[in-house]
This record gives sequence, C-alpha cells and structure tokens, in this order.
Amino acid sequence: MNTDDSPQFDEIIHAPIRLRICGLLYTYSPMRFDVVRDTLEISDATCSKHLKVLAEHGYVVLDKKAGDDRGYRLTWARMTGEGRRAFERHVAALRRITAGEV
Amino acid sequence: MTTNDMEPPDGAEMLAMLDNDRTRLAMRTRRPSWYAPAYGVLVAALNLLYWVLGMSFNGLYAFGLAPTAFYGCALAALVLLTMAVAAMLAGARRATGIGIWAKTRFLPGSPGRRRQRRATAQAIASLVLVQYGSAAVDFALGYMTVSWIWPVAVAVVGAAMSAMLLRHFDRQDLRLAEQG
Repeated sequence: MNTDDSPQFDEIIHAPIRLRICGLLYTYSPMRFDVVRDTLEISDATCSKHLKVLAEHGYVVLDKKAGDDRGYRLTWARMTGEGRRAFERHVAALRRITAGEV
Repeated sequence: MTTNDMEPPDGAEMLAMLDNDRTRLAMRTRRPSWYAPAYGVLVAALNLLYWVLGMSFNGLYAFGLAPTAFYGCALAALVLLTMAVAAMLAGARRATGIGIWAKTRFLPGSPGRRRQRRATAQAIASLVLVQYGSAAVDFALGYMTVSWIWPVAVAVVGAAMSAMLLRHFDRQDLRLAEQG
C-alpha cells in the first residue's frame, strides 16, 4: 500500500468508468448499486464488472444488505481508505497533467 | 495508459467528466420533500417533551399525573423520538440510495471544499441553536407553569424555523455543489 500523498497516476482507477465510479464513491459513500449504475447510465453488467475490479484491488467494499421487503438483497458500495488515498493521488496527477506540469 | 501518454486536454476532460457526474448526483440525491416537515414535527415533539420535563422538575401535578409519572412519560417519549429519528434517516437513505453521513461533495483539491465546510458548520450551529434554544424556552415555561398556549406556540415556531432552515441549507448545499 502506498502511503505517499504525492500525485500518482493509478492504472486501476484510470479506466473511464472506474474513474467515474471512484468519483461518485469519493463524494457520496456508501452508495447503492442502482444509484451508481443510473447516474453513470451504464448497464448492470458493466457496473458490476468495474466495481468488482475496484473491490479486488481493495479500493471498494461491496456489502449485500436486505431490501425493503427482505425478499431480496441490495448491493451497497463503499470506498475504502486506500481507495480514497489512491483516488486523491490520481486526481492530483490529473491536475498536474492539466496544468502542463508533466 | 500512463501520464506520458496523456495531454493536458485529456486530463481536463476527465476532471470535467468527474465534476459533471458529481453535480448530477447532487441533484439526484436531494433529501426527499417530506424530510424537512418531518424534522419540524420531531422538533415540536422534542419541545413539548421539554415542557413536560420542566413541569415535572417543578414537582407539579398536571393532567392528573404525579411528577414521577411525568418522568416515565418523558422517557417513553424520548424512546419514541429516537426511533422516529432513526426511521427518518433510514427512509432518507432508502429514498436517495446514498449514505447519510458521508457527503464530501467535492473532488480532492477543489476550492468548493472549504466553502462546504463553512456552510455545514453554519447549518449545524443554526439548527442546534433553534431546536435546543426553543426546547430550553419550553423547559423554562414548563417550570414556570404558564398557560399551555405559550409552550405550544414556542414548539410550533421552533418546528417551523427548523424545517425552513433545513430546506434553506439543502438548497445552499446544492448551489455549492453546482458551483464546484
């Protein structure tokens, strides 16, 4: 795990859908799966696939919780501390690129 | 792709995309319309609870009940209020699909974060001042055992002000999110 706060490009976060998922979860976490999917206007499968990649790298935690009528379970996604730090470093790297510093 | 493969417009485009998602989400996840009125009702109930507590602290018999019975009623009311707050928060979470406490709203390094922190501090201070200020007044009115009209009036004013403040801060929050 990298504890350095300096700007650092993250290959896992960089994929556009994953970057947007991280952006949402960084600002509002935890978030229900359907809210992530609908906000980004992507399919269930795409959303699920990218969330799993982020979860495998420890950036996101996926929790299954009971729905309204307890007959089904809803997935909630939450960004981990490691995910937040990686996203902060990645956004800092993007800002440096935008400023023409790289 | 690495940093070497990216040009400044690529980075700017990605940051703009993140900002756009954040604003859209801020609009999607506004508190439900029933939230502010429900909050007002809870504040009114809290105020009336303090009025009853004020009367019991004075050791008075009222509504045909001994002071000790008042404590029992106050405790039961407090439990009900706590359950109502929990139900309200759970309802808002279910309606919006986002967590209640975590609303950073801004990206790392964004100038909006400081503005948001200041606005949040103001919102909490105002709400605490209005709801506990009116509750303290109701407690004093109960202790002085004035006519029931006054504590009820204070409860109604406190509830209306709390609901209006909550709505005002929600709108302000959305404006800040749009500004980025």
